[in-house]
Amino acid sequence: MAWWGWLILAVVVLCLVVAALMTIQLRRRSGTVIAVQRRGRRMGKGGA
Amino acid sequence: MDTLTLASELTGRPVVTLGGDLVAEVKDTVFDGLAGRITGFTLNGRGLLAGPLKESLPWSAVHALGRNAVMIPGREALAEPAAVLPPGKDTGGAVVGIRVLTDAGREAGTVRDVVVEPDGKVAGFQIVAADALDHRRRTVFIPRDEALAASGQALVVSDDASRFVAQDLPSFTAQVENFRARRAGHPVGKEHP
Amino acid sequence: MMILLSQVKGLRVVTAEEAVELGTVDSLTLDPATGGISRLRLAHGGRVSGVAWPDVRAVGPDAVIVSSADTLSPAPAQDSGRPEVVGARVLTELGDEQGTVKDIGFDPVTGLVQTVYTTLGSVAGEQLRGLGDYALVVRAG
Repeated sequence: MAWWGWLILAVVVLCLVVAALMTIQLRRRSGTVIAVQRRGRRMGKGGA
Repeated sequence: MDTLTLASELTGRPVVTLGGDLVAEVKDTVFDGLAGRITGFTLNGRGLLAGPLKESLPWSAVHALGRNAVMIPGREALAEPAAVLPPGKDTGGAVVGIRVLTDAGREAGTVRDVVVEPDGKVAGFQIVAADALDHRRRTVFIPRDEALAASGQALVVSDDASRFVAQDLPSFTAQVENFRARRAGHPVGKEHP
Repeated sequence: MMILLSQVKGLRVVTAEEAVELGTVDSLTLDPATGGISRLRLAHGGRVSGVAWPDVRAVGPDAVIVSSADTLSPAPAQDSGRPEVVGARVLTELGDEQGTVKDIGFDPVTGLVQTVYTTLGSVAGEQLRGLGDYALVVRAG
């Protein structure tokens, strides 16, 4: 493979790594809405 | 009633001290499914590269929940995670996607979001309506009943509340008021199966 | 009496005791606790330094007079991390944005901020609550 072939391969691999890291980071930072029940009055069945 | 906000839109909102410093960003919004109030927020560090913080923000330490920022008196308002998310088996769980049932035992849909007031009160829920509630299975807003609860497993709304469904947040504000006025007129728990 | 930061910006800063020019006014640092200016930031040849407000003798139409060259202190010690006031985001203490700072009007004698001009209007100096790395916080209302 010519030198530029390796170069393109390296750039593609780098892009994939960056994309994967960004996905992981976005997932770490993603938020949601959580329900808790504070005073333990009438807990639901199971209570997993 | 003031402007309503979707809880999911709070994620990413900056947490700013009255001194003007950015200390964190909102990650999760945690609410008490029995009391129907926000109990606090879990936090991310500032900036895209930062991860979740060890500290959390209890609602009692929030100065104001604004359109553009969550204001806190100072950095000392942040507390250990247990202050917001009690450790142990009954910590509850994410409510997005859980089933919505009416107190008459009808399936109403699945939870999509939680509607909060600036004072931390949960006004109602955004749900993807089931057939019984809306033939076109649209996303609608339904008021929260003081006497009914939400958990990490299910959300129970008043069967009545299905008559106060709204299509968008501005009209939901009026519907919540109608629903509460009606509740005030009809004390809860007098109907029997 | 009130003078605008935009009028002061670029004025030469000259010492009274030595009559040497220290540089030109670049910006200022606010102390929201007192509602006044705490320091003048000077630019001279690409370097930035500052003079504490008590060392400023006069802010005139053509120059700013400070006591002596000794009053000049390198900026990074106290000003690093200090946000630029002009352009800063304005937040009410209720967490609502109110534009960004365009200009600041202050009393040239006392250094007290009288009016903060924002892209959306103006805020009285007494309403300042805090200036941090994210925003200038003002009292609501």
